[in-house]
Amino acid sequence: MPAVEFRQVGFAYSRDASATGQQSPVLSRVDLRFTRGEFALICGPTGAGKSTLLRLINGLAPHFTGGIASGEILLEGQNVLGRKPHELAALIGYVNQRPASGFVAETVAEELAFGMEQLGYAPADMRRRIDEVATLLQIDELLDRPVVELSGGQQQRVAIGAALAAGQRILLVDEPTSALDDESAAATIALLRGLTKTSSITVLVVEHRIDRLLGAVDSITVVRGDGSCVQGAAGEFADGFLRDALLPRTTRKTHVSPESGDFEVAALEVSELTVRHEGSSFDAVAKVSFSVSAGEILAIVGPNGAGKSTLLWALLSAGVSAPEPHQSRLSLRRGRRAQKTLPGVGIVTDGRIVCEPPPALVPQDAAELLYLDSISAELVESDSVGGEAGRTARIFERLCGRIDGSTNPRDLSAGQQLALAIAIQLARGSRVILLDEPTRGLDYAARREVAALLGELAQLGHAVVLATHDSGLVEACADRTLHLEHGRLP
Amino acid sequence: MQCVAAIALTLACRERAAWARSMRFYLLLAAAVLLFRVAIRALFGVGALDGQAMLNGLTDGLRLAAILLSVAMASTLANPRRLLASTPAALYEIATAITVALNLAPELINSLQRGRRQSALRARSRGLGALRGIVIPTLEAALDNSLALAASMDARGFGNQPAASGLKTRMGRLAPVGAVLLWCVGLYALLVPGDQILAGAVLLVAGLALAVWALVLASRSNPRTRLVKRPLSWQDYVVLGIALTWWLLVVAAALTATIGLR
Repeated sequence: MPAVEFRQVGFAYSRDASATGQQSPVLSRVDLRFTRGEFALICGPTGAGKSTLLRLINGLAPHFTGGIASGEILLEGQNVLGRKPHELAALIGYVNQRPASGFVAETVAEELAFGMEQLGYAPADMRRRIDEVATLLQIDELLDRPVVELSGGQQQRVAIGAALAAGQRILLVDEPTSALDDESAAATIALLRGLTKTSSITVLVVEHRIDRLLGAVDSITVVRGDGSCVQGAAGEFADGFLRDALLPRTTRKTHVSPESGDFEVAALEVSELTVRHEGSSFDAVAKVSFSVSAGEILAIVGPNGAGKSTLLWALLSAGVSAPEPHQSRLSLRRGRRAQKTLPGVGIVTDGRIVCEPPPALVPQDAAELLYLDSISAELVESDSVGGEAGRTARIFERLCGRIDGSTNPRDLSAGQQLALAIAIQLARGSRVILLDEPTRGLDYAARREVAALLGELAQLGHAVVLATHDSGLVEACADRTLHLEHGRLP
Repeated sequence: MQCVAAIALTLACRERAAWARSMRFYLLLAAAVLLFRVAIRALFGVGALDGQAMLNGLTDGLRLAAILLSVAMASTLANPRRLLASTPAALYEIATAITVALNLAPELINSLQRGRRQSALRARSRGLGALRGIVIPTLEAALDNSLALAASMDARGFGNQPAASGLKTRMGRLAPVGAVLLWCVGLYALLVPGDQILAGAVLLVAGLALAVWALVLASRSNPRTRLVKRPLSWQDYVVLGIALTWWLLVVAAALTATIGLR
């Protein structure tokens, strides 16, 4: 008997699907089977309904998401479609995309115990299970630590442990590796695979970065986006996905267009930069020096927590006019006073940044910069602040082609949203653009768009500095890489 | 006076810098409420605009500010998760709701700070449109976080009802209703002109007893367990005692005033 079986399952957000603008229901007459102890991957284009498929199993859809579900989902023969999530908590464990947002307790041990407390376990049994789960997931040393102090990978493991603490036989994980670097991602995937082999837990994973999982999973289910799903053994799909994962090297002409001037002059020059967070006792970034020229793409790589984002934000917050060489002491003090101290951003304590005009930054989630209802409104707003009418629109068109101005920015693809954010940031006249993890959470098609976009930016004469742990993107577009470890260049 | 006490206590007992941020937020809110009250009194108050009217407005505002700051104190000093561990089992759902709500202020502050970072990234034109750019993403983020937290708790079994088992659960469900009924009748007896003060008081006490019994009954039949039971320490009892005494005094004063009136 299969551990999880879908029979003619359908899901739509409204009875009349066309009223909401969607052409078809999210899922329609889906039949799937997962055997016990299977490590299954669920993938598909963004917005296709992968997470919804997962949520249908443990009841979060439709109870938390709204919508109408039909058909049957059988767990060991019992239909559970429509049951509330807390009724199925003893059978199914669920880990969300951002595990930190689901933490209830202060320490790791209490977090692991929460589920068991709800189910009425005796304290002695709870302690025993906590020790077992901690050993299984290699978090025994972390049991007394506060959850907020853990790294991303550790938080992921604690969330998995909390989901399995009461002996659940089915684990649903939504995008476990999107925020992790290659090393942590591989460790997490190995951990999940271990769960299926040694404990016979059925693990269903939704993931964009299919190339990371291909070697580990038993089966792949593709949610097509038109309501249908196709399921098969991992080997059948491997070639197609590996091909998709590969980013072609972006070819660009190496000469620089006359607008941006001499290639040799550095657009951004950083020397001995040291950054420290408020209230911290160590430097987040220490004595980092580098320079970037116009038309060049520099990638800053390193494991999570190495200080890549801190470095980028420090470059931005210290964006002051270039000091004269003989005035280095004075300019530093002037720079510090001119520096806006933003919350959560490090303060530059030493070093010099020369960048005129000041650089522009696009944060991790580019859509955060957009808040108006239509593209034309955004472009007009950006011009009214940047000074020159029509400039943003010109940059946007250069990057993206012509797009109808009345489109809502939320309806754009991720790559187009990034282009709009970049255009808005560049409208103020910066030559250097800083990008923080532009491909986080994006599927392969969007990743290709971003790579092309970066190539186009360099072609236009901008200097691009990119902080990322996406090695495929780095190989495809970067001219140079800077390895950062614990805030230092080794 | 209460405001000063609240602020002083918070500053004295503050443990971690992180909590202090939410205190600043509450202080600003209290100051805004105060100013608003005085302004309203000045603009729309009936009668002469003199020192007395201003003083009234100020007192009113201070009263509201005191309430706000008390909530601020609770939210800043209390460790809400430890609070969860000490509440009786029957009030678990309410306690959790309060915990999550108390968590909301730091969450909102985080979102606001993120918003400040974003506005540093992207200069905005002044005006209401710009405000939208900060308010909407902040609220969106706070709502998303709350929903994610709720989903995570529900998926782990929070909200599970004990299997109904006959007489005990029926009694457990009727008891609070009975208590409320007794309170209603008792209050009615006290407030309506007549000679039933004693009867009213007896009914009130009986209602209280019934409520306590309902609580005990519900706690016992609750399936939820606790990893570490944290019994209330003597400091907790002292604080509870002070709060309860104060509350009883206020209620008694109000009641005697009302009874004296008739």
